Amino acid sequence: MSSPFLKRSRRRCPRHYPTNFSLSSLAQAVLRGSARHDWRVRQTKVYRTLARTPALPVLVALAAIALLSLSCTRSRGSSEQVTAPTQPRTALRVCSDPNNLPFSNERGEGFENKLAEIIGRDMGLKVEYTWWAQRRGFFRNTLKAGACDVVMGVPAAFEMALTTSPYYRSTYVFVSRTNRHLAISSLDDPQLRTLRLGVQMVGDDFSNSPPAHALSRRGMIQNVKGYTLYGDYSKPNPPAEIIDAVEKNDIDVGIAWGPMAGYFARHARLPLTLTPVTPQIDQPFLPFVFDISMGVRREDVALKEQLDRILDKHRADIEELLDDYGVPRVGGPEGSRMNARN
Amino acid sequence: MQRARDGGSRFLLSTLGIVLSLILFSTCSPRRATQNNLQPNETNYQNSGAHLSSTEQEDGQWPMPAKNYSSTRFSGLNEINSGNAQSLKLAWTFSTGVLRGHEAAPIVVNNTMYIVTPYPNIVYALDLTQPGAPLKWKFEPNPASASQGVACCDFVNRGLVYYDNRIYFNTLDDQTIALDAATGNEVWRTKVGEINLGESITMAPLVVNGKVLVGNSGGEFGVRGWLTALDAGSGKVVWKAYHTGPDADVLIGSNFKPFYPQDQGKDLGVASWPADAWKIGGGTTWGWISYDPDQNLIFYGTANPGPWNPDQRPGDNKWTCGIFARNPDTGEARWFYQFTPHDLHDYDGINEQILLDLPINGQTRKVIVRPERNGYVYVLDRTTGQVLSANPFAYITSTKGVDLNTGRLIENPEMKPEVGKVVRNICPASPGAKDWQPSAFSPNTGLVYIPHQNLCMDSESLEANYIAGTPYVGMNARMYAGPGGNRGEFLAWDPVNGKKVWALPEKFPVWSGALATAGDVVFYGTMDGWFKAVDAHSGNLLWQFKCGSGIIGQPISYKGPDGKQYIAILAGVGGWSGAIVAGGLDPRDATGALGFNNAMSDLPNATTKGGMLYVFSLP
Repeated sequence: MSSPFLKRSRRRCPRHYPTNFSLSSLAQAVLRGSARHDWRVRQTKVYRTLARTPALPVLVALAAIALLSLSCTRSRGSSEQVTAPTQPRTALRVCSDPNNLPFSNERGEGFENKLAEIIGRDMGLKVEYTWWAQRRGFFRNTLKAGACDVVMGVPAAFEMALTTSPYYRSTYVFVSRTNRHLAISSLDDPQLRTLRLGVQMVGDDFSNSPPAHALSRRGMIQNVKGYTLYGDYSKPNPPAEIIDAVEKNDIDVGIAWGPMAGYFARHARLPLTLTPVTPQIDQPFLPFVFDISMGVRREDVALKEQLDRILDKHRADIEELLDDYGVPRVGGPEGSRMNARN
Repeated sequence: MQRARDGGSRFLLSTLGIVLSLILFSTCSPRRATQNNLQPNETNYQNSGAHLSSTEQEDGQWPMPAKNYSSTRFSGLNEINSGNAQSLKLAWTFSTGVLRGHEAAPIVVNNTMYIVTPYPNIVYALDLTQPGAPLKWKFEPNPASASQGVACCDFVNRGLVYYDNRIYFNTLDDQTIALDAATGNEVWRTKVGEINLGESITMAPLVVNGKVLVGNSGGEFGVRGWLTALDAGSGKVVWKAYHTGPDADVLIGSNFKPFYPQDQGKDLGVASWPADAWKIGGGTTWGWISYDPDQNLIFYGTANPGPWNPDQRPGDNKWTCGIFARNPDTGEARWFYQFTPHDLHDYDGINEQILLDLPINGQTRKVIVRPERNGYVYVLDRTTGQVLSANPFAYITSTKGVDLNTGRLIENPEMKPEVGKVVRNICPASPGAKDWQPSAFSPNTGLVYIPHQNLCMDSESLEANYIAGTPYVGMNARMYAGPGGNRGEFLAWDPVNGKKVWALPEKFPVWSGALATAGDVVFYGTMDGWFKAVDAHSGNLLWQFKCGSGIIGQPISYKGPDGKQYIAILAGVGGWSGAIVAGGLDPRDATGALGFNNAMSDLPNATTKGGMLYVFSLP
């Protein structure tokens, strides 16, 4: 592409992709260890201020900076791929998992389904779905294959898609039965060594869920039960098995991704307590907090920018929606996830 | 026992003699064989051209996947030779009824053929004395179906072993089982691992001195690797040696004398890891074991350190990606050498070790020849663990050679995965220049026949990833053909001079084992289903047969009750490389099968799954 565009995009990077810096600013705030961080998890049954986070080594800052430069470079790279406008849209074509609440299901009951409705209404388009189980191959078979145009939830630093500004930041959480009064908020809590723990496993070389890595690094293995994220797809919402295991007293504490845990805790038969995992970035570089964006094809810059504007416009609606679904959120030190654009 | 000779330029293979004798004994009265001090019937083989003069030593059987304790996979039978191999014909077949990848070697003892299938690990005994080799008995161990979920790379089984009128084999769900070879009745079964911890077993056991040696798989799930010995009579655990952790767990004691300083010191299995990381440090054992009765030592390799990212485990990560010499009776470690310290690329060190006596710099040395996953053929002194030579047999970018003074692999820092950095053109890719598929050695030619792959990869470290609505960070890899564009190769290697003699490019990775025979015919199979016979000296194709499914099994040769020489191979594509067919993976998923899919997307067009035994002979 032309150099003016490149220049423009380079200049805009820090302004229009502020949340690509999210982990960086997060890490810096953690490093400062200041009293400013009043990051909270908003969840119907839990509303607690995080305890003072211990300072993390410089490594975290370096890693965060590396991530920052990656994000910014990537944004520039994708800007270079801008292509001619395509045919006018006749529908908002969404790639989605038909069996994975609270995110989505084919009955439209997930918060990503509701979010798609909000976006579609704003664009004056009806929502159309391409259903595909969200596991390895999902992006290749749906978004990249051109079967649909947007994935409602992806990590902001996701490589296989161009990502919008994040519309929420959530965290992995400890889930336990409220009547146990465990009050665990740290991976370093000595109680964890004697309790029965559950984590979710990815099962590939070099890949595991953050709590799986963090617990095993602390030597906790015999008391840790693994639940595959893939689960048994013949059952509803297979990743929720770990929450069910807490309810059934198969494990004392499950460590799971907040949105899933928050929703199923709300629908549990027993009161469950959720607390966000600390440290938020475990050594050497293992984040438990992720910014979540929408993802479009790398070349769909116009759509990405349109979605950014719509997300910003409906910020309050989205917050309400996430509250309705019990999605725990973590705020940044600036106090907002979405108005840091200038 | 086996003694070194001043053979000068003569090429010696005394070990083969021992082994053949041992097998002869073990077939008839194995207890005596293990108790008596065998006098080896040493035989000299010339480096070039001389034909095996000792077919009388060849009993025509094949009692273990590697044929003998030296793991030569060499048959002394010579009825089939380079002059008549083109007349080979299909003699009979047998369907295993299983669709997953068939990596096992058929076993032949006392005119009975035994085969074990991938999960569900069915054992069949076929009566070779009857036309068409009808089923003699069948044994179904019924392993837990959940074990399929912990197998990283298809549900393979690398074979069973015959010893003392019994059949020994492992199941995917971590059981070692002894069967009466005549009836198929179960004698004992011992649970040696835990699938809930991610352990599975895919290796073939080896029986030495009345001990059944078994190791675990599952490094991807954070298991801690071990090798254990079970009493062949009772199934009771005699010893268990871990491959990470304190010396007491690793069975390292006062007799442990590693050659290099980096392997000397107390509790290196702890000290070379971050705190407690060794507890799930991998170093599993899912490959091959060889045995030297002269020294009474077993030799076997350890797999990669997993499931950690390399940055999460600074240090050499002992005792992963290396080779142990141990006393089979006590498990006590004698020496260790680490092929790949602090593995960055999943270079499991589990390949076969061929025990030979080779002339090195004018001296006959007792050596291990080992084509390693990292791309070098190592020649190690098997009495000390010293590296005598390490020459590349494949295209390598990940390392820059082996320092023969220090024994250390020289890393290429440019190929090191780093946070946020895409590293391209890592060669060999994670399956290595050669994976589990075992080589063969012919004393007639003095050559090692190596089936292997030619793959490179791009790796993206710590990429934010996403499954089922759940974000995490992980490393992705995409594999593709290395230089030349062929993904596989079958090559003949001169271990004395450390040189490639000839090489046959193959479209797909050569994931089958190799068989060398006294008729100077070498056999291997391809993943698109061709079973090939080539001239041991020249590599010229003599004959080929298209099997119904791709071949990842181990060919063997035996003498039938009719006195004829037979060649047998299990076809049935699968394994890590063939998971795209056996597991029905989507070819459009480039990172499927841990990145292997990207290199194998055309395999589904070339073959379909299905386990079938093929047996060939001259008309």
